[in-house]
Amino acid sequence: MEGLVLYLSLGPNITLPDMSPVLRGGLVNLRQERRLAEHWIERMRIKTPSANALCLNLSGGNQQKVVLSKWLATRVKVFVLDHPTRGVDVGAKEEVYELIRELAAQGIAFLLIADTLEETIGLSNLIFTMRDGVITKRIEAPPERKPSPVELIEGMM
Amino acid sequence: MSLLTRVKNWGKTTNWVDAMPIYTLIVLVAVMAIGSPRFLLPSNLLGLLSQSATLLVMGLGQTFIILLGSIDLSIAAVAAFSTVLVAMFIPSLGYFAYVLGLIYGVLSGLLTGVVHTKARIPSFIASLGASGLWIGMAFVVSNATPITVSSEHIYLTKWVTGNTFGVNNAVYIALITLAITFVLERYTRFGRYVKAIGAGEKASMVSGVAIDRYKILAFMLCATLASFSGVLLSARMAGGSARMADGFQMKAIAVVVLGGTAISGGVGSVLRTFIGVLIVMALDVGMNMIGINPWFQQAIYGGIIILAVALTIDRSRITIIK
Repeated sequence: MEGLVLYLSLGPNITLPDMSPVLRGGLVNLRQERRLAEHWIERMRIKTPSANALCLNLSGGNQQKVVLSKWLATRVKVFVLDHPTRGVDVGAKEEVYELIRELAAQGIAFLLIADTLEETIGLSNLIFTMRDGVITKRIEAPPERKPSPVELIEGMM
Repeated sequence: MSLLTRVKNWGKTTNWVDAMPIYTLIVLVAVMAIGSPRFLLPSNLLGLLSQSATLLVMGLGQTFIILLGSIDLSIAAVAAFSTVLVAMFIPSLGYFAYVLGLIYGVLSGLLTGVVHTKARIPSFIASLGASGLWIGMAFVVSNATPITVSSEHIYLTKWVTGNTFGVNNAVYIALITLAITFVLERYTRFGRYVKAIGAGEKASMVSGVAIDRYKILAFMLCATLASFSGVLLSARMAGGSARMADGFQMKAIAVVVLGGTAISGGVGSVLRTFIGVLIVMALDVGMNMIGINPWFQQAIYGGIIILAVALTIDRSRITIIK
């Protein structure tokens, strides 16, 4: 896990890329930071015993949600997700997908790097297949007309 | 969390290894108080604290380096050279000699930090090399003879040795330094980044933390505090010598790890180092009380460091010990 500092709690992880929202006169306002952490726990439905819990104690799926939170807190518009559900158990995968859809609906763009067909087809609006480092096929995948796995495999072989 | 709820939740929210330093301190103080009731007299405790001021200041600096997961083996040498510089320049520069000592500290930390980060040399080697450099310089510059501050300049040392409201100034200086480093550690970008780097350097890097910059800053802070402890030492001893900080290197690490700051980085606090200093203070008194040879006390501290580290770091999570 390289997305989070596991030995820190949620708040410090969320503010790590951009500390300015919790700085008051150059000093960290811990109460503000805690509120920020609670805001993201609620918005991302992160399951944690408390805002003070170390990220170490969260499940893989919830850790991924903290990673998403910390970058969303910096108001990024584009995410590059490199295998976002690797090491996340099946039930939690669905939750991560749900979040990605929700955020996409709010106007955030995602570039998803994936190696499972279902994940790719399920999440994407536009798919590029690659082989040996070269794009081989461009496949439109709007919700009403999803490509079949075979269409993707053709581009990969 | 308010202080009160924290006190109430002490047993629940902290595991026993976390809380051990404070229990150790309580037990030690209790033993001392039984062995010699005079120990608990405020005048005695304040006297001990003023003697420990130099050690506390060194330990506070070392805390930031250990929080990074690094170590600085040059602090005693930096302190020693700083005493030499101060004692040498007091006649010509007056109070500015102290400032000179501090400027030297800032620069020596910059050197160690840059060598460590830019040349990618492990911190214990970079600082060990620096230690050799500064202790050598201290011997060369002082001609290997202690320099004494003459009686006409002794008034320049009063800001450390004098009393305010009946309490030695060194006590105030030590506590103010503790307060400043506490704010630095807990409430500034610098302190937060130092802990984040120590707890997860890779994750901090991908979060955009300028790793090298904050490491160098930490080494500068540590060396500056080391030179400041040299300043205090030279004022208290009214002189300077290359040997003046002998024995402090190990103790300055001991106070950090005895307080429970993990040598692996990321977890700990300057407040813990303060507890560590109090423990060492009590141990010193106790060992002298039962008449342990001062040279052998060094050996005991060596053992204590290993014991404290063995207890505080979670070695099951570390796959490679280097």
